[in-house]
This record gives sequence, structure tokens and C-alpha cells, in this order.
Amino acid sequence: MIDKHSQRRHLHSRLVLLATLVCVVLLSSCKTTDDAASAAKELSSTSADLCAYYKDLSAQVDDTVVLNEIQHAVFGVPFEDQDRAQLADMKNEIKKRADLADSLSKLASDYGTLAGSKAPGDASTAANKLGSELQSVKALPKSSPVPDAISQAAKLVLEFAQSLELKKGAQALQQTVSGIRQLYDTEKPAYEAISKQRIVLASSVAKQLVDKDQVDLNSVFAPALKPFDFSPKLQSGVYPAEYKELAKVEIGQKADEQMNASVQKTEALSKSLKKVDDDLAAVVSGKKSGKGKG
Amino acid sequence: MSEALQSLQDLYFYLTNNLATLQAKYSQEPQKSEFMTQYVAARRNFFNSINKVFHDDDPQIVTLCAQMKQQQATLKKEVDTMNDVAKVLNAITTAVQIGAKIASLAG
Repeated sequence: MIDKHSQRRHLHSRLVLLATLVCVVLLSSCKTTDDAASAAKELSSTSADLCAYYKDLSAQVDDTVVLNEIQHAVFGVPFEDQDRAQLADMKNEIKKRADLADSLSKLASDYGTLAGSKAPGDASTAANKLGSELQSVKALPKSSPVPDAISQAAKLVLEFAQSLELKKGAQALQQTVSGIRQLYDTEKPAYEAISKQRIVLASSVAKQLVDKDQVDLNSVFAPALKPFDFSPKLQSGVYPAEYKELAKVEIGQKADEQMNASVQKTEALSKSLKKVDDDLAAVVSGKKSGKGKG
Repeated sequence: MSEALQSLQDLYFYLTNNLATLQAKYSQEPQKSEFMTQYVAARRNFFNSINKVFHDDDPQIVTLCAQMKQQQATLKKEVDTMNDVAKVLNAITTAVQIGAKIASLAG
């Protein structure tokens, strides 16, 4: 027969067990929300980087148009309306990707706020905007089609705009990142080619201008005189061939450096997108991400 | 980057980097127009293909890429010596034609 003391002890231990269970559930939910907020913060930052990358790429397409026009003036290479139109289409599609990345960054930021405070904020507006932008993305001109993941993401994002459920939001964000990442990785060679083309065109024109004595070469000799606080004062128009060669070697070296830097930047962003995609997938599946930034 | 796109890029960049030398050699018609036509074709082959999918394991692409590699080596040799400008122009034309075939196989 159980005495009163034993009954109390039994009740007490059951209460302790129940309280522990409640704490575990609450902490787990709290951790999930923290992970979601953390992943959203990371996504917002990566998307902002992606937006800046696309804006820079768009500016490079503008430069490429100008460089082709300069090449026409300097070398007489034809640059026709069809070439100009192709670059304009390219720029237009890149701009859409920049807008998409910008909207994703804003939605991720609003989602982070929502996950942290339960206040809807502007998440619904941001989600609607992103959803419609996802629907409008097309492939770069004359390229393979946009991945299916993008249209699936558009659907999920628009659903989240209606419900504002955190779980749906996390799924929508993850699907969006997955789609954008797939698009980015497929188009990576195109991005690198755009950057390289700009640099190769620029270096070709620059070398020709050096040969034609149309460039001030003072800066080439600056490193030799700077330690002594002197400035070069070369006689313009009478540069010896050796000086011109030196300038052209420098142009070639800087062109190589810029091309390598561009490839590295493109690759680094691809890795960042993969990381944020993985982190969001972990949040969606309920696994501890443990990778999110604070 | 696929080998096919790389070969188109290499040709266009090589011609661009040597544009001053080549333009000086082909300053008279009809070679001037012929060279410019080939240069613009090389640029378009490259630019039209930059975001296309190439199947590098396609036997046709493998053969064409090998031909392009060979042709670019020949072209480089001819440009380095510049002994025979007509021969250089032929080498450029052949390389650009191979490039057009590669570009046509993009998906």
C-alpha cells in the first residue's frame, strides 16, 4: 500500500517530468524560431550581395556597349543594331535578377522580424512583390529556360503572402533560394564571360591608345619616383617603344588580375548561396542548422 | 565553362588581343572587309553562345573542339611570324567556320 508521502513523491516526480517536457518543447520551438530568424538574416545579407553583384554586372554590360562603340571608332569594327539590341536584352534580364535579389533580401528581413516578434510588418507586401517578380523572370537571351524551381517558388511565396505562416514562409524562402541558386549556377559561365569580354575589349583598346601615343604614361613610372617624392614628367608624344611596351605589359597584368578577381567573386557568391540554401533547408526540415550567423 | 564555349571565347579573345596587329596588316580592301567580317562573326559566335548549354560529350562537339584547338595553334603560329597575310586570313576564316559549327550545336 502506498502511503501519502510516496504518493506526493510520485506526483512530484511526474510534475517534474511534465515540466521538463514542456521546457524541451518550448526551447525546441524557440530554437527553431531562432534558427529561422538567423537563417533569414543570413539570407537577407547574401541576397543584398547578390543584388549588388547583378547591378555591377549590369553596369559591365553598359561598359561593353560603350567599349564596342570605342572599338568601332578606334579599329573600325562594325557594331550594329542587332549587337546593341542583344546587349540591351541581356541588361534587361540582369536587371530583373537584381530586382529579384533585392526583393528577396527585403522579404528575408521582414520574415526575420516576423519570426522574432510575431508582428506581420511588411512581410505580406514584400512577399507579394517577390512572388510577382519570380513569375516575370525569363532566361538570359538565347539561353536555356529558367529552372522550374523559380515558378514553384513564386507559388509558395504568394501563398505565404496570404497566410503569413512561419513554416510556409521558411519553405517559400528556401524554394526561392534554391531556384535562384540553380539559375545563378547555370548562368555563371555567362556572367564570367560578360566580365571577361569587357576587360579584354578595354585592354585591347588601351594598348592601341598606348601605341598611338594617346595615353599619359607618367603613372607607369610613378613607383620609381614616389619614394623620393618626385613626379614623372615624361615628354608627351615621344615615348620610346620600351616605355610603351612597359605600359602594355602593365595593362595585360591588370587585365589578368581583374579577370581572376571577377571569377573568384562569382564563385564566392555561388558558395554563399549554397550555404544559405542548406541552412534554410535545415530549418524547413526541422533539423538543427547550427550554421546560421548570430 | 564548357570546352565548346571556352574554344569560342579563346578565338574571339585572341583576335581581340591581336586586333591592332591584324588590322594593320589588312588595311586594304578586299582583305580589310573580309577580316572585319570574320572578326564580327567570331564575336557573335561567342556572344550568342555564352549562356547556352553545350554537351561536351557529344562526339560532334568533341571533334569540332579538337579541330578548333588545332586551328588556333596554326593561327597563332601564322600570326607570330606574319610571313603570309593571306594564309593568316585563311586560318582565321577556317577557325571562325569551325566556331560557327560549334555555336550551332548549342542547346
